[in-house]
Amino acid sequence: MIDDLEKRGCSLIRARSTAVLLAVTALVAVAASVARAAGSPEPPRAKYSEAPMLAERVRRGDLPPLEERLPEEPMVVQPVHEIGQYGGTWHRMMKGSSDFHAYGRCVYEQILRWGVTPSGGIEVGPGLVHTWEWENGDKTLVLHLRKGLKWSDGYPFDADDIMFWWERIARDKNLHSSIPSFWMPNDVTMDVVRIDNYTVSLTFDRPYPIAVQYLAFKGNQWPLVFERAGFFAPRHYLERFLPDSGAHSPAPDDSVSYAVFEAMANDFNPSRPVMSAWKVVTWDPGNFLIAERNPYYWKVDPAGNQLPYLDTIEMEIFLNPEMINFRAVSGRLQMQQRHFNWEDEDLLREFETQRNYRIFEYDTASLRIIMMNLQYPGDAVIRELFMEKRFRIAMSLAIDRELINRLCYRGKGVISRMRPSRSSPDYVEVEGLPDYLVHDPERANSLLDELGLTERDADGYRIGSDGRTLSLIIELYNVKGPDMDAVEIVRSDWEKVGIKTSLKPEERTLYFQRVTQNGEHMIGAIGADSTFPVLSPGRWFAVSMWDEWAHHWAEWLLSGGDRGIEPPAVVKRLQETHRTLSLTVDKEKRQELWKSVIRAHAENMWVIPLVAQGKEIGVLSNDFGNVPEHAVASWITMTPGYLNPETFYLRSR
Amino acid sequence: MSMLRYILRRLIRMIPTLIVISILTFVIIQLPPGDFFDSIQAQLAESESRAEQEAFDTLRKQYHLDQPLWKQYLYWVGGCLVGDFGYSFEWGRPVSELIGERLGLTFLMSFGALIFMWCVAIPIGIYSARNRLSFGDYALTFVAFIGLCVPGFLVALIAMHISVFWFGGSAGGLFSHAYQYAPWSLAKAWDLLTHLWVPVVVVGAAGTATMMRIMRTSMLDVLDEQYITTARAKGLAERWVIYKYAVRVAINPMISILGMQIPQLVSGSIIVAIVLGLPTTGPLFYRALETQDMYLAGTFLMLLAILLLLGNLLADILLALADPRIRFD
Repeated sequence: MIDDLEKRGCSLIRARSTAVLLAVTALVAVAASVARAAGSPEPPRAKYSEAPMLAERVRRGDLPPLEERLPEEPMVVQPVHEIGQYGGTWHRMMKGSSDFHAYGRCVYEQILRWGVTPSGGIEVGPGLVHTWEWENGDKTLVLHLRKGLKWSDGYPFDADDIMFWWERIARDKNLHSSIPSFWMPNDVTMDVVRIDNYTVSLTFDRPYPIAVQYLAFKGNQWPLVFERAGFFAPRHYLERFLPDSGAHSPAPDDSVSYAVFEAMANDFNPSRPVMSAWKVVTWDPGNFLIAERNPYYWKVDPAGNQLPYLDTIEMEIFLNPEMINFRAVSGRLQMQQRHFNWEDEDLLREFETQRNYRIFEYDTASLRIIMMNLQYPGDAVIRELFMEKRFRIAMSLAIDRELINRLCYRGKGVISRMRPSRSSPDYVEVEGLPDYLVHDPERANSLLDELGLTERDADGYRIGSDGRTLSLIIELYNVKGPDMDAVEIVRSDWEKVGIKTSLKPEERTLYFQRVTQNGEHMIGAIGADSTFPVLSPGRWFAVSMWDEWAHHWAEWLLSGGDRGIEPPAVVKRLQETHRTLSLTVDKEKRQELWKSVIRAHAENMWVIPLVAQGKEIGVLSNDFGNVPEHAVASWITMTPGYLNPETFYLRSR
Repeated sequence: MSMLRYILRRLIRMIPTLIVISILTFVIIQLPPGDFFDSIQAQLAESESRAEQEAFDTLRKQYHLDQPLWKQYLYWVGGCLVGDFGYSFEWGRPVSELIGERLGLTFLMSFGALIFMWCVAIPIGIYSARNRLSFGDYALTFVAFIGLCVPGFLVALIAMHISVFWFGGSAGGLFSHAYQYAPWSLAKAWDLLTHLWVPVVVVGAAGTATMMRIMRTSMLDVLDEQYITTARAKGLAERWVIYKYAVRVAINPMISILGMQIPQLVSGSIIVAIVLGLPTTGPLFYRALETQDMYLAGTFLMLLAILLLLGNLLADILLALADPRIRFD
């Protein structure tokens, strides 16, 4: 069974070398005949080889030989550049334990994995599950696990580890007060059935093709620290910590043993078995984390070397944001893009050659947006204006996005409407949309005049229908650096068309409460993910109470009409489209749906886009191999996780 | 005997003070809106990831965060009495374990800074008092005032800048890279000593200026006293007059402020420790306040309060030892 990705890799190589092949056909024929003449049958399969530190342990007898540790068919990973060398340490930095993604993305090991297509796109590929098929009219997904996979402690990994997660963790009210919404599309919980040791099926009540994307996105080992999501867990290790499992006498106080269970299941627990390339060996809270290679890792390179190449990952915990720059310019971080901003570029460039690293740029799809709270409860005059499409269009026309791009994002940003970015699987071209992203203060002024905002106060600001000066407040949390400068430009642009505007930075918990719990903010500024808008629907479809423009409308939807405010028909259609999108397989149908979403956003300007940040920067040591030059930096692909960090290696000089 | 009784009395009087402080700290930590899990959720949103709202409800229940404030307080205080200071939500470890690990280094650094301050401030204070209004006095006073007005974190940043950009060294920390993750050994201890002086000097610098000025003023007062004149008139050697008679009395105010200085050093070094990335208690405490990791923050605040009370007691005892005129009743 050849994996999709491997096949793709092969075909690519084949295509490139067709010419060469033609030229050497004769030679090959000769070689083959020589081999036959020598009477040798099929050459024996290349023996697998392992890292020196593991070979040493095998020699000492505290580890079984490599052949017994690898699965029947190890996954072959094609390194992006070349076969690497064993050894070395990857130094990285993380910011406290809530920055668990800093480590979690290095050990991204899902049921299915995002892979890179030859054209550079992103597509779901094999992971722990090597093949899968849809049955029953796209309602049942059958997953086939690789045979002979082992946990990092040598215990077999099989369907029971998925069933353990589903039956004992996801459905235990003490651990999850409800099943993650994406596993209950249409409010009907999926049905998980263990067919045999290596086969599991997921059944939904209607076609649910997006499930494979969720397996690549949320198919990790439970719980990924605070994210509390996953798809499997080591049953043989964790079962004894679960209350009333029978295997272990239940503790007197249930909450105590659930707390113990959580502690043992936690990603930073060094004794917890894992399926990833590295496993935590030391977790020193507040100081550092050290992870070492997993001797049972189930992937090899094409030469048969067991991966990963790197022996260890060292994560240093820091609080002072300057610290990471200091570490970078001293050349200690071999590959890290997390926590770097464009502001740091000049500093980082200064030491590039001296300290033997270079700066790389990955595509990102964070669109900076400004959202008026269209159901703003604080002031009826302002709410009516926000609900007025022409007002939103005028405010958008007032903004000089070219200036923002040039001054704040060094011209590297892209002026974009609300639409999936080019790297998104849902990217689609739409023709003939109104362009409200141009800078046209005159038209903005005349639109505002049309709305009856002609009266001005002594300072030249427009006066609202209640006779008071219109005064807008943009609420911000953790908007800093270039993003802050961008909002500052918006403020001055709005003032230029006579709308008094002020900025109000807020402590994040306060902002979070105002927006998601009460929806009492006036205007919010934040970023929206435009690579995978269906998986991460925030700010797109008015289906999340996090949406600054639609908190009360989303609440209406989520509460089934009990609470919140009933949205207008066009927004209801948008909400419905989100549901349809997550249930639609057909690519053409999806594109049609997307076109309607893009059109609705373009025409209604519910969300005012500023600039899409095109690139994110990071530092890459010149001694660090197999890091692709181009990639997408996203939460959903867990960058650099999907770039196969197990093939990263340190060149010995 | 009276001394022992005095110490005992002071210790007993600390108990109600500590109870009031514990209530205050607990309430103050809870004042900002939301709890730890709200703050974590907001942080996750910041990095674009999102956790399901419901995921945290079960955790809240596990950690009793759904209980009323007074109940939470009793859980904590009840635990503290038996040495269980609660659980850090963020780090997933008992608080005692977290603080314990870092306390040693914190004390080492703070006492290092204290000794540095005394060793620098007292001789300079004496010198400036004896050579009042001389060039040396002006020069040292000038330097002292600069030290006083430049905040510690700025000095720390400059020190790191010089180390990284001029010498290509590593920035901050208390250990070389080779020893950063290694278990304790003699070599590691030596490595610590070679790095410790930077934070010690940075933390001590600001305090030194104050101490020096206090010493100078106090010394000037004493030098005008009649008994000094008498001593000089009797033909005692100048060195003898200064060190045996003048300094011994002039040093009293230095001892009195010692009590306040100990907690000041621990809390004052927080920002410096964050800037330098030191594995002391400070950065952890700051982070705990930020994320409302209340048991960790509360325990740290209590620790500071106890240090303040003990420091004052210690200062009073030292004062009594240094100055026999002081009585205990």
